[in-house]
Amino acid sequence: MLPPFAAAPRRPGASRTLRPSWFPFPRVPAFLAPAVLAPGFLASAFLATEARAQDPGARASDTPAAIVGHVDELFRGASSQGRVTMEVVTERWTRSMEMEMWSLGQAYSLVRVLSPSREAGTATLKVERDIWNYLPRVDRTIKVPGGGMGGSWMGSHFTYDDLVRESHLVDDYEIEVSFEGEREGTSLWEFTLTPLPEAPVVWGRLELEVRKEDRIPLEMRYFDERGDLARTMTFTDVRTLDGRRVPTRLSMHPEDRPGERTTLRYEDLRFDVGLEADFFSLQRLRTGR
Amino acid sequence: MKERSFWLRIGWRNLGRHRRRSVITALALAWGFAAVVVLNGIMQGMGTDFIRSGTDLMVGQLRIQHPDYEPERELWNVVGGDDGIHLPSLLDRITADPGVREASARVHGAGIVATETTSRGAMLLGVDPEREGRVTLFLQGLTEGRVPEPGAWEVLVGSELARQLGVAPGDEVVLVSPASDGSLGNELFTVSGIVRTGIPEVDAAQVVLDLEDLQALLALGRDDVHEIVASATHPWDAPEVATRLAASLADGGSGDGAALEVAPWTSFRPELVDFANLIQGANWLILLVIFVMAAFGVANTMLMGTFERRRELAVVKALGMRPGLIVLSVMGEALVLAILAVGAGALLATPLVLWLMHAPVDLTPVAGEQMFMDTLFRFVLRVEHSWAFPLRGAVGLILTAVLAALYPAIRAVRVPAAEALAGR
Repeated sequence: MLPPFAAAPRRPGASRTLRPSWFPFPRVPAFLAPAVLAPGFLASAFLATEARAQDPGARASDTPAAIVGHVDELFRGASSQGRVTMEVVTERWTRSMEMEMWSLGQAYSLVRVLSPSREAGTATLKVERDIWNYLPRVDRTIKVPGGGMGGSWMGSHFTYDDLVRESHLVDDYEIEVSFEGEREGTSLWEFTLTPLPEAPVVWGRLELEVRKEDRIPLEMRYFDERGDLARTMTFTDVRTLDGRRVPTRLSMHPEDRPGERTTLRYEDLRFDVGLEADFFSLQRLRTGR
Repeated sequence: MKERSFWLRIGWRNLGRHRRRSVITALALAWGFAAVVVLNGIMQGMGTDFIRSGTDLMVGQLRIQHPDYEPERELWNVVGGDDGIHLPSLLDRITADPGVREASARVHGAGIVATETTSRGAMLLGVDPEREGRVTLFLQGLTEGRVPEPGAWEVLVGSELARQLGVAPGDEVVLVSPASDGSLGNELFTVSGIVRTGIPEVDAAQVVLDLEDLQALLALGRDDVHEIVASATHPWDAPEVATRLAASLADGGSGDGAALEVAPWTSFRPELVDFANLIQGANWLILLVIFVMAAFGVANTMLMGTFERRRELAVVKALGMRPGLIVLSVMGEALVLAILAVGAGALLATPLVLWLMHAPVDLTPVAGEQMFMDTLFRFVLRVEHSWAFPLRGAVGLILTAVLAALYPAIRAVRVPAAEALAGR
């Protein structure tokens, strides 16, 4: 199913006194990060569930938790390469960036801006929990410091924090089916994910809608601890990329900023491209080679 | 007429009957009064100094911002809003207010400051160093180098931040910050100096640069500022000046008055107000302690006096003096005593007050400096001139003395005439 969207721990007010709203963008949880930086993760997850969907017998491995757990395992090690257009719409401006990205599992990723020309060449490298930016304008590579992780990544609704968080959907949540049937003409499941007591998660709960027909996710809703909707992520434009059916348009709408969104549109995705960990080097960040 | 002030004359004469005792009691009261006046003056001085230090260091006494700027601090919520302002003329209009000493514009940002090897999160503050130096004091905390030259792409780095980054004046740093148009602002700067404010969070994160350099980094216009800070002629006038400024800036011309908000330090640093109130509370406590001591002193003196005059009181009672007049004569004695004491106390306090007003004693070499509530607290004995408190103290002390004489006076009335005359 959908491990990549697991919201990793976020503590909105935790460092507030130290960082008094320095950052001009809202902090957004982790759910999108792996999707941004590890498209292969997303796609391989679907592959796994599709294979299972063809299995006629309802087995123990069809329980939501089992599928999630299996997918979580499956994803690690999958490499990918792709092109994505990120559109950020805010109250004040709208911008669109074209980016090329490479990833290896959840730990390694590299993103390079292709356009607009003013920012072309700007690149982000993630290795484990560290992030570096290469800034062609000043020709410098900069490691994003702990105190800067709350900053916006490339002007989007993501923070650097979101990028480095690893998802632990299966470890951190209890997953159950809260709805099964037709909604607006589509046969779907709705799963409710409740954080386990010890889980370092700030969400009160998550709701995930998955289309039964092909096990494609439709919408993920994030609720805060008071039970109020905090943000919604929608998955649309299901297409076949490199032989796999995936939703190619992911759109995040922060509830506290009506009308604003960050949308990712996958133009091209290739899976299992044989990248090794040493591909993700500072040298490649700087030169692209 | 003569009949009416009769009790006061009796009181005055009775004081002379035991001169030494009267003088000693009066001296005790005088000392108490002088102490209250001087201590209060010092406390007021400390309070004002503390507030000045708390506001003048960085935040200023008056702050003008876009109404929506705090607490989110969105880059585009600039003073004047989307309609904009003409910055030089706005600054002129602010400083035209008689309650404003100086004003300075600021831009705030947040981002990353990095060297070749290391990086830290940073608060970016853009100022006009010359104007800023006339409003706040933090630029005086320069420990190395000099303030940034306009247009030279130079930065001041907080002392702790500089230590963590390992930079010194002359070194290169990169500033990276999300700009107001959504792009990623990044630029090379040269460290021109190191600044230490004493506020730990500031010293560990602050990067100060020229206003226009930061505007360029954040893709803001020349007149786009997030804050105008101003200093008031007297800190306690700030709320009044803020109200006046808000009114004059709203109708005075340049565009939409709703897109700026004037706040005095009392609203954005309420903890300093709390502290000032604490000082006020301590003042009242001192007053209370000294007055209670005065009351017992007076009561004791009067009690002794009436006790000695048992026979005499018995005689005047026997002769038909009205009890009210006896009470009045005893209280009159206390009244005269207190007035004399307050006079003597004023004579005692005046030179001390004048001295500490004009030549404050700096105890910093002995007591050191303390950082407290983001404010540099220095032990300086400086008296703040005020008529209200000494006057109130004088009236209070006299009233206390008169009331303290009430009990001895009532005892005097109750002297059993026959027994006292019989010598029993």
